[in-house]
Amino acid sequence: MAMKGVDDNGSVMHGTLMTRKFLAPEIILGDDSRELIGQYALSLSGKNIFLVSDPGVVKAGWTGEVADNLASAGLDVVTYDKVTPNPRSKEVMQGADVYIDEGCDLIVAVGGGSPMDCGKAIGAVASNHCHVLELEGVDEVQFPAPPIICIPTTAGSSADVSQFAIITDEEKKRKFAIISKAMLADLALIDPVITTSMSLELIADTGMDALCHAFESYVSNASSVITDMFALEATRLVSEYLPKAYDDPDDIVVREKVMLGSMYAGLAFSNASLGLVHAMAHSLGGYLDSAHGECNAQLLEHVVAYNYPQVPDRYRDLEAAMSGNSSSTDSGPDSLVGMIRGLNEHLEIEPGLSNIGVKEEDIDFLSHNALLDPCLATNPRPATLEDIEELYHGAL
Amino acid sequence: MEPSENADRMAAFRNKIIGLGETSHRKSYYPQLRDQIRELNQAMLALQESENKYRSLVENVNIGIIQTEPWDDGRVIQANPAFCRMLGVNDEDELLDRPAVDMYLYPEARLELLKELEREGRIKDRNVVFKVKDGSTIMCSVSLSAQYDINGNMILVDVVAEDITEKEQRSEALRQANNKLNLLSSITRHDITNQVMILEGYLYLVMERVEDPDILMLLERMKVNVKSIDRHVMFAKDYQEIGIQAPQWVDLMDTLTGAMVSIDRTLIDLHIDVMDYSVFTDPMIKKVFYNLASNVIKHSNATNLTITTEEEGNNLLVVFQDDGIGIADKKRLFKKGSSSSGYGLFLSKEILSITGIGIRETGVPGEGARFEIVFSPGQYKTSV
Ligand SMILES: [Fe+2]
Repeated sequence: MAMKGVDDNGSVMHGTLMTRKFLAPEIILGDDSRELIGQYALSLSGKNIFLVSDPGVVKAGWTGEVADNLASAGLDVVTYDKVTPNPRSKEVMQGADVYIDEGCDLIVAVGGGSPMDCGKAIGAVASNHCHVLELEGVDEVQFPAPPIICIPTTAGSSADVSQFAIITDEEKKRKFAIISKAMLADLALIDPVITTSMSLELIADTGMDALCHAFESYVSNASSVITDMFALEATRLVSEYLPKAYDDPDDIVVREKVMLGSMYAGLAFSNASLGLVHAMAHSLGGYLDSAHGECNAQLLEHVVAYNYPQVPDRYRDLEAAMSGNSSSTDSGPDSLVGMIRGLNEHLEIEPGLSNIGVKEEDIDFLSHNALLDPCLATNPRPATLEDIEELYHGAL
Repeated sequence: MEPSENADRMAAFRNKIIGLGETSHRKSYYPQLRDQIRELNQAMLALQESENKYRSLVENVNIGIIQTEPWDDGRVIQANPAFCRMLGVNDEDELLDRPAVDMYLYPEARLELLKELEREGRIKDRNVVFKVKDGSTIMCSVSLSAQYDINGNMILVDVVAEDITEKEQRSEALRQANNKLNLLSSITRHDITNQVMILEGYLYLVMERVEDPDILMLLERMKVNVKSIDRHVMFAKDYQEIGIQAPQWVDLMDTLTGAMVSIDRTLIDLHIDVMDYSVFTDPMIKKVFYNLASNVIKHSNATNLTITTEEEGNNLLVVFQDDGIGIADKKRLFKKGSSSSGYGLFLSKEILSITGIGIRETGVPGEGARFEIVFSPGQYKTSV
């Protein structure tokens, strides 16, 4: 055996590779891949399918189509399609009751982040016989959840490829994260055709969510070479194609690129986790029930400016990826912040958290919750309560 | 929360997110799941073991066990080796999937059993005649129990069958021999009694006509002998009655008081002090009680007879204690023809021995006789 990596003194030399894991579900990507649902539900030994969705997706016809596909594969389908944006713990518990009462054995989630997160949490509650609040945190899911297949209808949340589920604790007006390998789907059927039914606003919000995933996972202190690759490519794809998708939502080729960028970003953040943007956005979403993507879009430039001094090289990589150049300027955060503003402007996201109803007096409550969010753990620059308060103020 | 405390918390989060630690398990192979699988496996092994145990029991037991469908044309589902042997077939396969009714000599017997089973859920000890492969038949005592599905419908019948052909034949032969013996005994006794009566009549006639005192004395002896013949015949009658009636549970107090009705209370002071017991015995036991009491009057010179119960270890003793002269020579006490009381004690012992009850005399000579009737566990119970 070659004695590579051992120096003259006999001690092991270390390279630059950090020891990191990378986890991903089985992914099927491509037009009309949703039609494979019956075959896959069968191969995962499903008999009685719990189909989770939301009213918007039902209206667009996708839920019905998936249900029909399942039924024609000879499977029974129990539909749970009243999931709201920012799903509440009560919806999870009700869903788990239905799942258990109906004797379901496989979960299919069709929709954006909300039905997917809700479906994943329902599975974990059903197999652990506990309250969903008991699953909060990292690695708190004791028993594996039943098989789950995700069919995303938005290009952003990436709940279909991540090991995250974000649920609202409606009593305490906060969001909490369930981060566990048990939250990883068994299969992601990513079908760009489905995203053609999104509204312009939804395209903008979910696209910016994806960009934040890419940014935050790239600067995360738990990132790895694998997540970096996905994060940078995601940044490149989303920055280039999101404005085009917004301008011409019917261009399927452009939509595919955004979808791909979102998926890459999802794979990156699922493994490297996120940062301050998401910690603060979760707090906002839990308190005001506001759109997750828009919160992110509002906060991103402020967090970039805050983090920049800590990891300037990382941000310069992101700036280069955004601009499509191979190298970046040496101008500090201003150029990157400018690009983010420009993108928000293109997507007609009006700057200022006050636009989504945040008031001066809410900042104390919001900051306390953000400080406890696990996403803060991987933010490159540690943040105190005061830092967070200041950031909210700046973003107001 | 203190800033440093939150920093520690965040550091722990980060470690877990990086996911290289022990708690970061694979998606579908958690230790908890493995534990569950191991427990299930253990349970399955235990189940297998107990199934093997029962299987070997079913296969090795000398009693026929079969399982059939409960309907009219129901098939045989399972039959153990003992049942196959009983029906003269080589193995189970010759019986499986055949209509169960084919095994019965009288098909309607099966239908009746099924009807009763439907009502009762369980039937015990019915005699059924099965057809044997070689054309003969066997008589079996069968017990049936039903198995039901979750809707309460009968889905299976378990049949346990014991071949009683030989037992039946033997007890039939015994019954017949007994009948003959009784007939013979009663006819003979009747004839002897008649002849003895005639003999006695003639003896009286002769004695009236004879004056010679020597001859009269000889005739007097003959009279005693004739009486003795009569006693022997009476014994034969009593002995014949023993064991005719099946043993049964009788109340001790009732039986004792019943037996003492014909005891002359002017000749003895009788004290009965027994607890509430039932005993399993030939109903002739009252004759035993009477004999013991009447012996006391006849032979003991006692003034008191006390009848008590006591428990000695696991046994129940019924004690007849008198205050007479006692019995010095105990050796031949229970032997046939041992005493002037004729056959009383011998008969008593015979009656008791039918259900395994013992009797002994343990009194001190000079202080009174003490007869102990010994009931072992199972031969007595406290009355409720
Ligand atoms: Fe997000």
